[in-house]
Amino acid sequence: VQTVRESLGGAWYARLPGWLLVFPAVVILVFGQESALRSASLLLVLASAGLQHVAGGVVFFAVARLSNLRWRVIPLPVVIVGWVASGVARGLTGGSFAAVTIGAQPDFLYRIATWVMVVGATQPLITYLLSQVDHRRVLLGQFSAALENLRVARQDSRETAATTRLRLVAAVRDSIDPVMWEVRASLRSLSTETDPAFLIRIGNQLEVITEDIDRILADPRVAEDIEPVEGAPRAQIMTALEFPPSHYALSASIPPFVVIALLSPEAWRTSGLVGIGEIVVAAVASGMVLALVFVLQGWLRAASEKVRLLALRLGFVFAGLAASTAAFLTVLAMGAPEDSALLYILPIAVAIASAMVMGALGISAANRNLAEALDGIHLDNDRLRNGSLERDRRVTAQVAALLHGPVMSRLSACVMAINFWPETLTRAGERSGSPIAAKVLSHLEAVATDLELLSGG
Amino acid sequence: MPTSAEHYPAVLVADDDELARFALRVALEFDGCTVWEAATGSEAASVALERAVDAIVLDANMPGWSLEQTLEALQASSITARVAVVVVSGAPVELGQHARFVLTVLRKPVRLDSLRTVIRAVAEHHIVVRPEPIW
Repeated sequence: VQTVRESLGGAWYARLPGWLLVFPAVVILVFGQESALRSASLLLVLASAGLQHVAGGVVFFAVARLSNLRWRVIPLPVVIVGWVASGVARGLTGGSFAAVTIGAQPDFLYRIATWVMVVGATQPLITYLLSQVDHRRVLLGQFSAALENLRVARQDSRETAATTRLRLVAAVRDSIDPVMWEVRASLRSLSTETDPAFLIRIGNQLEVITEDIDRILADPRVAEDIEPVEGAPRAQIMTALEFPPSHYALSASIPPFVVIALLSPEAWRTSGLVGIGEIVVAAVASGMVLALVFVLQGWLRAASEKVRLLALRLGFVFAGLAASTAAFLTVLAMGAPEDSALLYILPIAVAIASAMVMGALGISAANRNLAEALDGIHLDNDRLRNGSLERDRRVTAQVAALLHGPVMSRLSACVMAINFWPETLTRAGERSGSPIAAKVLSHLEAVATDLELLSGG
Repeated sequence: MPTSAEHYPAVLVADDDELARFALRVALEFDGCTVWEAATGSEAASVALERAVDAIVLDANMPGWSLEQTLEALQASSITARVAVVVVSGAPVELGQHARFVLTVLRKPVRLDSLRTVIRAVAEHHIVVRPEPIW
């Protein structure tokens, strides 16, 4: 399970995809800010948003890069310093840009305060959400690999000792039969005049057979080794985004605060206290609708996933509309709005905040459940594997005893006879190898018969 | 070989496999050794006692007596207790308390040069006892 500190200060603290992902939201916010400046065209708004985002990114990535030189997981105070610094950079850039392009007051203090609030309210959520999504992809990949390993382990555990014995003997036969056949054919065609080099080659072939048997008995399970779960490929992003909603109360109550943090500075600048009241009323209204949405989710527990998802999406839309309507009514009751842009931005802000909060909380909870399930699978896997390995060790010892008795002893005798033979023949000046060839051949026939008996053939 | 100008060792080859005994006999006799044969542990103990051999090439896995029983029988007599025992085996062997009594362990199939080195050491009385099996 990934902790909050690991999520916020880990690999996803500063990543290019995360930085690019929030740019559309930045444009909307900058549009809201600059709409108060009547002379700001849409192109200038886009240019300002882009510059502010680049300036914030440069500062933010610099802090992250420097911090990563010392820490793998950046401590929370440093994480916050990075966020605040990027907010300051955005504010300074936005103010300077407004002053230079349209000659407006830079309002540095207002802009910096706005961005620090915005970054403070959204960056932890975004970072946590992206980190949890990424972690979920890893967990889902590991989960699939672990399930596959479990399937193999279950299949393996159902193998009986007799089957294991047959499998081992079959592996031995597969390995040595071709060589045995070749050696026997060579020995059968042996003439009375024997070339020592020919005998050395046969001796080497037989020696390889004994080494093969040792290898198979030492590591009988090479073919069935399980894949490491840690190196499993990540799941698709869309798969990772499928998760059951959870923490309904928190999911309904956090978004209003995010909306207040996002929009109240601009509302204060354009409409003063009325603007703040407008945003607070809108946020509360959206929170109430969200609460109803999550109560409805509870009622729809028995419904299909599609119905629940549809209800959730519609709920976010209604929460946004409720916020906008509440703000509009508040403005009507308290006075005419100087800037109506907020009425358009409110539903978007509510929907984004709701989705982010629900995603962060839901995916985090789903990851915890997945990690627990993964631990359970690992335990089952280990239990089954240990049982199978114990059975294999037992059977391998039995097969090894059987093979080292008649089979390996005979093979060793053949190897010694063949290997000692050329040298003694050469030194003695003799050339006839037929008597030993006949003995070796007879031994190899006996080995073949023993192996057939062992494999029940 | 001869192993030394003065002394050609008498070696007992104890193995239940006739071809293995034959192969070892051919090689050892070619090197000047006098070779005796036994097919079981009990036979090895009695031949070693009768023939006063210098060394025994002893297969670890023979029918009848276990390796431990054979080694115990060899140690029981003052004549055979001083014989250099070379255990040959296709699988790792546990010598336990008999480790000091065994000159070395050779892996089956035995290599001719390894066998010669050991027998030469016996002939020249340059025996180095290795309590740990060579594997």
